[in-house]
Order: sequence, then C-alpha cells, then structure tokens
Amino acid sequence: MEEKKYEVVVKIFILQVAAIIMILPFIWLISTALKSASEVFTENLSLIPEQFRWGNFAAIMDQAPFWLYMGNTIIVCVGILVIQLLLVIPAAYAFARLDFPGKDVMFLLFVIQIMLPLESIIIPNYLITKKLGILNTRTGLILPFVASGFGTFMLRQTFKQVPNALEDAALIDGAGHLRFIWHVLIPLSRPTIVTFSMISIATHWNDYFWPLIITDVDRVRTLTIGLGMFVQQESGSDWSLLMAATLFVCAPIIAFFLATQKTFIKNFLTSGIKG
Amino acid sequence: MKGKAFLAVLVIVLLFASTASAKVTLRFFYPVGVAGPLVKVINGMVAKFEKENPGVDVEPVYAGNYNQTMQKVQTALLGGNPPDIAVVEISELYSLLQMNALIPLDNYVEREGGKSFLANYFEGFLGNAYGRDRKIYGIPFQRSTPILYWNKDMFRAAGDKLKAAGLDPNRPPETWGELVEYAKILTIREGSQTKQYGLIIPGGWNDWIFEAFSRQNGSQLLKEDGLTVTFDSPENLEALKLWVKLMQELKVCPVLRPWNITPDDFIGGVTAMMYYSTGGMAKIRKTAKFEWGAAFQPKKKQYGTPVGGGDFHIFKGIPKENQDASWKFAKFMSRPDMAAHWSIESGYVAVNKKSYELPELIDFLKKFPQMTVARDQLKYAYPKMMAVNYQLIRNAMTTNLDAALEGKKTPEEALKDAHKLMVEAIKGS
Amino acid sequence: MREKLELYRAYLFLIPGLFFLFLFTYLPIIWASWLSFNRWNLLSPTPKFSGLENFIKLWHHDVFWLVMKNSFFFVTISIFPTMFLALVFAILIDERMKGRVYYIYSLFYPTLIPMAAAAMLWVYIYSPNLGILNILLSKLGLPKLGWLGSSETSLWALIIMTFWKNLGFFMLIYLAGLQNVSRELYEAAYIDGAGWWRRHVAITFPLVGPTSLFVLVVAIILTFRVFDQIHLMTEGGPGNSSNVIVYYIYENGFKFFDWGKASALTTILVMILLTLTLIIFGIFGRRITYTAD
Repeated sequence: MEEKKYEVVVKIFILQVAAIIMILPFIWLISTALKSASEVFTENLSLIPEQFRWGNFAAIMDQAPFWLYMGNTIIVCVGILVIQLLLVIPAAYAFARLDFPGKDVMFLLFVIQIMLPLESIIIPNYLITKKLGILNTRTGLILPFVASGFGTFMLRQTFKQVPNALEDAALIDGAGHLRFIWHVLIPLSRPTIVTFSMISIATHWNDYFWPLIITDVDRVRTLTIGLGMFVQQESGSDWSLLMAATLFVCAPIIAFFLATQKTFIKNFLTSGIKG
Repeated sequence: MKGKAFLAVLVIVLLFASTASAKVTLRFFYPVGVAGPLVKVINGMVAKFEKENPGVDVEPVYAGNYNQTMQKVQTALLGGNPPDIAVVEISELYSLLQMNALIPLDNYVEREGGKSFLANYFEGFLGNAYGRDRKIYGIPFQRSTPILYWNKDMFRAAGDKLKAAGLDPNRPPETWGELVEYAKILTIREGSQTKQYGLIIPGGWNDWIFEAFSRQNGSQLLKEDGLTVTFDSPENLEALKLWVKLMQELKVCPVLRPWNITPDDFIGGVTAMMYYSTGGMAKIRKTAKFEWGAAFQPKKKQYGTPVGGGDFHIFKGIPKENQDASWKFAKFMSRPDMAAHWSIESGYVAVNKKSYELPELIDFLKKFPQMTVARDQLKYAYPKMMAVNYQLIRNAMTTNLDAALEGKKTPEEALKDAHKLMVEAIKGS
Repeated sequence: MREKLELYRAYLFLIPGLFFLFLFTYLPIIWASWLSFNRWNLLSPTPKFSGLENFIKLWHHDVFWLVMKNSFFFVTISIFPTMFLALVFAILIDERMKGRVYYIYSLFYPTLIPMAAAAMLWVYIYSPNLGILNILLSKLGLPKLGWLGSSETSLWALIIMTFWKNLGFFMLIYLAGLQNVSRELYEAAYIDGAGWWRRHVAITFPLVGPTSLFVLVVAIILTFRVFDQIHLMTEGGPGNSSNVIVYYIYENGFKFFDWGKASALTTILVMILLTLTLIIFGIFGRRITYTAD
C-alpha cells in the first residue's frame, strides 16, 4: 500500500506543528532559566537571553538544598520500586499460575486498588501513617505505594503468556517455583517489568500531595515539594530563578528517559499495555 | 587490670562529656509572606544567634507562606510533634489557643521588667499578642501595615492632566475621592489595551486590604472578641462599592491580580499606584528603575489600617530548657539591632522602638524615607481581626469578595453571604 | 498433601501484597467511612458520633455542589478530547518512519516532568503581563485574558495544562495497542478504495476498543485525582471556581481541620470511583479477564 505523497506531507506537517507547540513551553522554560531577573520584565519575546546566566543554577542551591532534595527523591523512588517488585512478582505469579480458593476475590481486590489512588483516600491514610509513627520519614513516603494493583495486573497478564510447557519442564527437572520465576519467568517478561519500573519511577519522582501532607522538615523533603516551596519564597517574582529550579527538577527524569529512549519505547510497545 | 581501669575512665569521661554538652535544639517554623529571598536573611540571623548562644542550636524550617505555615504548625501539633517556636500570621492566634498549643509568656516578660520591657515594642503591634484571658502569647517579629506605593515618574508625566483636574502631581491621593480621580487620570488606554493602570489592588489577601478600607470608613469586620461579626455594615458596603467601582465600572484597576506578582507589576511599570504590604518594599527598592514614593492609604472618615505580619509563639509540650531557649531566641530576633537588620533587608517595620536610635537604621531611613511610612501609619493602625478557625473565616471572606470584585455578585449579596458564613464558622456548625 | 503445599505457597506469595493493600487502601476506606458519621473538628477535638450530620451539612453547602460540578466538568471535558487526539496522533506516528522517536518524545515529555514543575511553568505562561500567552495575545491585538486570576477561565486554564501533560501518555498507550492491528486489514481497505479517514474509522477505532478502555480507566483516575496543579496554581480559586473534589478534601482536612467533613467527602469520592469501576467492569468486565487469558 503506497501512501500518496500528499498524505505523507500533510501527516508530517501536522506532526511537526504539534511537536513545536508541545515543546515551546519547555524552550521558554530553558530560555527564562538562563536570563537575568530584570530581563524577564519586558514585553519582548526574546528566546535567546542577552547573557547566559549559568549562575542562576548556583543561586538556587544557595536558597534551598536542592541536592539534598534530589537525594531524598532518589532514595524514595528506588525504595518504592524495589519493594513493589518484591511484592508484585510473587503475587502476579500466584494469580497467573496457581490455583487456590478465593483467588478471584483476591485478584479483584488488587484490581480495584487501581481505581482508588492514594489521593482519594489521603485523609485516613494520613491518620494511619500518624498512628504508625512514620510521619516525617522516608519510610512513610515509601510504604503506602508498595502494593501496586496496576503492577500486579500487568505482570499477571504477561506471566500468563509464558507457555505452561516451560514451567512444567522446569518443575520436572526439579527446579522449585522460585527458581523458575527467577531464571525463566522474569527474563521472559522483561519488557513488561522494564516498562512498569520506568513508569513507577516517573510516577513517584513526581509525587507531591503525599509528601506535602506528611513531611515538614528539609531532612526528608523531596524535589517536588522543594520546588513548590521555592515558589513561595520567590513569591513568583524572580521567574528566572524559579524556572532554573524547575529545570533542575525536570532534568534528571528527562535525561534518564532520553538516554534510555530506544529501550523504553521498544519495551513499552511490546509490554502488553494495551488492554 | 590497667585495661579495665582505662575503660572505666573512658566511660565516665564520655558520660560526663555527653551530659555537659547537652545542646538544646529548637525547631523554628517560619513563613515568608512577601517577595524576596528572605530565607537567606533568616539563616544569617539564626547563625548569629547560635554564635552568641553556643548551647543552643536552631533548626529554621521555612514552611511556605502564611497559610502553609499555619497548616504545617497545626499538622505538627496534631501529630504530637509541635515545633518549639514558630511565627504564624497574627490572625491565627485564637486558633492556636483553642488547640491549647501555646504557653503564656507573662512570666518571661515580668522577669525582663514587665511593662518597661513591653514598652520597647510599638503598641500597635502588641494588640495581637494577647489571648482572651488577657495573657500575652506573642512577641512581634515581622510586622507590617498595608500602604500606598506611587510611581513619581508617572505622576509627573501626567502632570498637566492632573493640574487641570485640580490635583497636585507631586503628592499621592489622600482621600478616597482623590484616589478615584487620580486613578482615572493615570490610567492610559490604547484601543482595547490598557497600557497603564492607575491603581492595582491585589487579590489573595483581599480580606486584609478590605479590613483597611473598613477601618478607613470607621467600621471593622470582626470585633476584638473574635466572636461578633460586623462584616455586613453600611460603611463596609460603601467600601466594597468603591472597590468594585474601581475595578468594574472605571476599570482603572485590574481584577484579581495575584498577591505575589503585584510588586512585579509596579516595578514593571504596569501601574501608577499600588496597595501592598510594606513588607514588599525591599524588592521594590532594589529593582525599581524609577522614582517612587510610599504613603498612608487614603482616608475616608479617618486614616486607618489593620496591622499585619506574624509574631513569635512558644509551644507547650516541649521541655522547659527549650522554652527558655526559645524565649532567648525571640528576644534576640526582636532586639534593636536585629530588628533593624530585619527591617532593612525586608521592608517590614522594625518592631523595636530602640531600633530607630541606631545609626545604621537612621542612615538607612535618610536614604529611603519610604520605609518610615508604615511605622508612622501605626498611629492610625488597629489590631488585625482574630478568630478561632480563622482559615475558614478567611475563606468565606475572600470567596465572596472575589465574587463581588468580578461582578458575579452584587456588593450587598457578597457582604450578606460572607457575613452568614462567618457567623456559622464561629458557631462551629 | 501436594495441594496443601501449593495452598501455602500461594498464600505466602500473596500475604505481603495483601497486607500492604489492606493497610493503605482498604483499612483507610473503612476508617474514613466510620469517621464520616462523626463530628471531629477544631471546636470538637475528639470524634463524636453525629449520624448523618456531615452529609446533611454538605448537601446544604453551595461550595460542595460547585466542587462536584467542577470535578465532573473537568473530568469529562479533559478525557474525551485528549483520548481522541491521542489516538489520532498515535495513528499518524504509527508508521515506521524516520524520526518517530522525536515525535513520540515531543508529545510524551510533559508526562514525565513532575506536575509540580509543569504547574510552575504554566503559572509563568499564564502570568498576566510576563506570560507568553498574554504577550502573544496582545501582539495579535487581542485583549489579554485573566487565565488563572479570573473565575471564568481558571478551570479552563487548568484543563488546557492537564491536556498538555497527559496527551503523550495516552498516545503512547494507543501506539502500543496499534501494534496489534494487522497491516493487512489496512491493505485490504486501501485496495477497496477507502480513504484515510474511512480506513481508520472502520478498522482502527473498533480494534483499539480494549486499549481505549484501558486509556479511559487511566484517564478517569488521572483526572479525578488532580491536586498538585490546583494547589500550586489557583488554590481552588478565585472564588472556588477551580476547586475540585480532592482539593476540597484537602482544604477541609488540612486547612479547616474538619476531619469529620473531610472523611464524609472521602467516602463520597470512594463511592463515585467504585461506581465508575462497577460500570466499567460491568460493561467490559469479561474483556479484562478474557484478554488476560
């Protein structure tokens, strides 16, 4: 099937326009981050700053410990992911391969959790976290997210697609269930696991509401909260510093996804996220 | 045998050392309510305090703006983990007292000399320090009044038109009537664009600004007992009508500009006049490229404003050493030299009268006489309204004021609705 | 005996997950439900049973209905245009063409950045004098808009920003779903003389049904739980014009400290989400377990 030439041209035109419109805000962000404070105060739309003020980034460090926030965010994201995988892989396996009474009901419990994100039940979760004494701790930032219905659902689907024969063969050879999972199932499900991991990291890198509620000290503050508070500090007035801080907060995750783009796209498209 | 003896000595030395160097650590929550990099200034002042007081460490926790800081304090209280000392917006005192969160400071004050100690502070600021039991719970720190800023260059540029209307381009308006006239002339329109506004009255803290209007007209929004609502009064209606007229009818004032960026608008030459806190002055002083002045807010029946800002409060549920150290800290921060430093760096009024005898402040005020305006306006200032669950009351006020200013409700409706909600909030229903 | 072992193994694999699920999802729901029937606020510092009082108060409260209206408006207006455009772009990008990754990322990167960062950026973009939108408008001779500062436009401003943020994510999901649509179907339709639009209406739209369902679920969750951008951009205002349900819950819990009311609102939200779940599962339920098999 040949695509008519004009169809191709139209298609590329639409995509280019869309791409530019979507990227424009980010370019504006970078441009402002490199301007000086007073340069921002004009009605002239200049994309290129008069002087490239790399010093803006040092200046934001001065105002708030952004490196500390970054460290906290990394610890929390990695913590969440690791525990998620530890919980979700066995659970998905049980649902995919084993038979036991109550299986359907329990699976339903996991699936319904997808529709009940933390934000919707934040009030009682706050009270429970308080009772457990983990307010203002990184543990408190991690634990509420570890039981992922979404991950369980995705992995169960993928596990189901691994042929039974493989498993039977492994078991006959004397390998236990755990060895089977580790040596066979997980490698075969790599696209899904990779996709899930990347989505988990991207999601929790961006957590805001929960840390807002349960932390109030710099010691455990995360990047997003640090950024939010920075706004108030500058009272929206020093846009150049504010955009520099915003850029700082976005940069790691964008860099990460750019560096892994081929892997991510390939894995995402074959992961089975399609219903 | 030698080894055991050595160990024993070591243990004893360590024990002794650890008790001897028992440092007191204070958690200090504070807000920044105006434009400017004030976190750095606070950190500097804290460092100086620690140097002078080696046994005390202060952990300053910047907690956001006034609302966020109050929420953090309340959440910390509910979590059983109160800060040692905090600055919150003065209207919140009754809420904190309702939560039984603060210790009275009368003993400390007595020890410092009682009335003579308190005489160091401007009376206008002490009005919000007392609870209903007439005990004192706060020490003033970052205090302000709303004032009028005016762009002298723009006034001069409109000189001819102003003179033709019988107005003096070398001074700002002094009455409500003059305010309207000046604003009309100073608003420049080109086609459908407004190139320059005569006046900007920001949103966000429009309850504070409205209280100012109310006082200028001889009324108030809520009585001192924090229980009697007087929001819906004929004087307040007049005030709201004026405000709505400026925005909707004459369009000399843009509708609902966010609080944060209003100084930007003034600095950027978007407006000839601005109502704002004196606390924004440092930013304007440092970045405005034109001649500007500050003045009392125009009067109706009288000059009048509420005060604003936050006081130090010391919390219950912390060890006695912490309370004592907190008192030291509060005293330090409102010492003449520290209060002067804070005022210069921020634009807030130096709360200590003796600050004005210090050479550095005298010199500074010679260079920037605008900074004296808020202090002088204290003559006409009243304590800010306080109530339990002030957040709810404030929400009722701003929601309805916003609606009136946008033209969605008539001023009469807005006042009635707000009044009703405020009464409900106070009753606790 | 073998079966007993299998049973123990299954439960062993499940217990940790179920434990946290219970602790942070189901227990909170139960607790919130109970608290809904209690009065617990600043003036009444310990929970006291009060029956339906919280719900009745909400029923009579104007702001509650406004918040509900805003929430449903936000969800419906956001979801459908975003899903539609996401599918269109996925189709356009689907072919193995040069620079595909560039197009994917240009649409997808907003999803990656924290909502907090996006909020900051868009506050700047919407800024009345310094923001790029108003500058563009005035250069075109059009009147500047109030955006976040006006109750007419505040919710729309948030919707636009949320659209920018979510479009790429939905597009990517659709792209994954499109991998399963066989090229041969398109070939056949092309040979039959069907144009671009007809081809996709007849083939693509029906075949991405399951994917659409997935996207719909994701979309509903993402839009019902919006909080970050409200908190950072408008604080629900002006005049509650951009107040939505999760933000309203936050206000009642952490600003006004009325835990009873906040719990009642939580219960209502959970009921809404569960009802939506039931509807979706009811209509498409078999598909979910079916396609998984």
